[in-house]
Amino acid sequence: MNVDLRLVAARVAAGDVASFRPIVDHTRAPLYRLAARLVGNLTDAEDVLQDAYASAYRALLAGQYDGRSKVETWLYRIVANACVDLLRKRREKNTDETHEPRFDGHVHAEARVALRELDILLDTLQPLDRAALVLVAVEGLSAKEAADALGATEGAIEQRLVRARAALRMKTEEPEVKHERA
Amino acid sequence: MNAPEKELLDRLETLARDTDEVRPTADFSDAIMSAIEPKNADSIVAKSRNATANLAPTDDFVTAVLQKIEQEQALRKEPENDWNARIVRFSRFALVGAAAAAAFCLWLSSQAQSHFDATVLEDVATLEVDE
Repeated sequence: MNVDLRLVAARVAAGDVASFRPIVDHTRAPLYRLAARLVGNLTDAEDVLQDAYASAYRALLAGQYDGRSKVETWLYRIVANACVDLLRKRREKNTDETHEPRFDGHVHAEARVALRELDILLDTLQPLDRAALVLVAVEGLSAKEAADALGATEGAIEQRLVRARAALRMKTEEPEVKHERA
Repeated sequence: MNAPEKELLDRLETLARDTDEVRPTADFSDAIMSAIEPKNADSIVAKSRNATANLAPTDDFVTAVLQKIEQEQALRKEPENDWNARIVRFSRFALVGAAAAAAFCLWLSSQAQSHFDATVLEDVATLEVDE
């Protein structure tokens, strides 16, 4: 079913809290995937997504959504930036504390393993480099779309991608080099 | 063997029977295999894309989000009302204060003016008398 969420968003902006439910219903799956891929685990993804929805609701009430972009795109941007903020905080605190996820339902073990591996692989990258790489390489966005989501220029994203790929190449080649030396 | 001990052993036996059928899910083997396979960055990225393609939170998540929003709203409403009332009270006080100050200044200015006029007239009269 194709629902124009812009009309629903207008109702929320007018103070109808219940109208926010269809927005969450229609967008939660792709945004959950985005958050999980960006932050690398399901617990943080749930927390970030909840906070992002709450701030989106506040923004709707405050009239900050102008309706020029689709609601889905607008939310995508909010979630991507919330994830980058979380990655920055995580880097500052240097913690690796995760709890059991609460809303993951029946998630395949393979997904958990894949997210863990992705998190370990991207752990050393700068938060924005990591976000750019995930948006382009995992989410399949173009550099322009990733730039739009992260509020950066296309050139800056291209630069971040080059830096991230170079860092990953060094990281994955490191053990082999050490092995060769040994 | 006394009764409590027997009861305990019976419970253990029941538990053992109940857990006889515990098995990992079918994708457990895939997860083990993928964890031990040699990888490079591209394969990890590709795997994470495929393995998470069907990720979605449960329906409870929507309820939790709406609850969070309602809680936040309830928390914000109280201080907002209080804050608004304070602003209105302060604005009224400031308005009345400003009006009173303006009236006082007007009165003071007219008093000074008439005093000044009287002094000038007095001085002129004194000069004329002297002359």
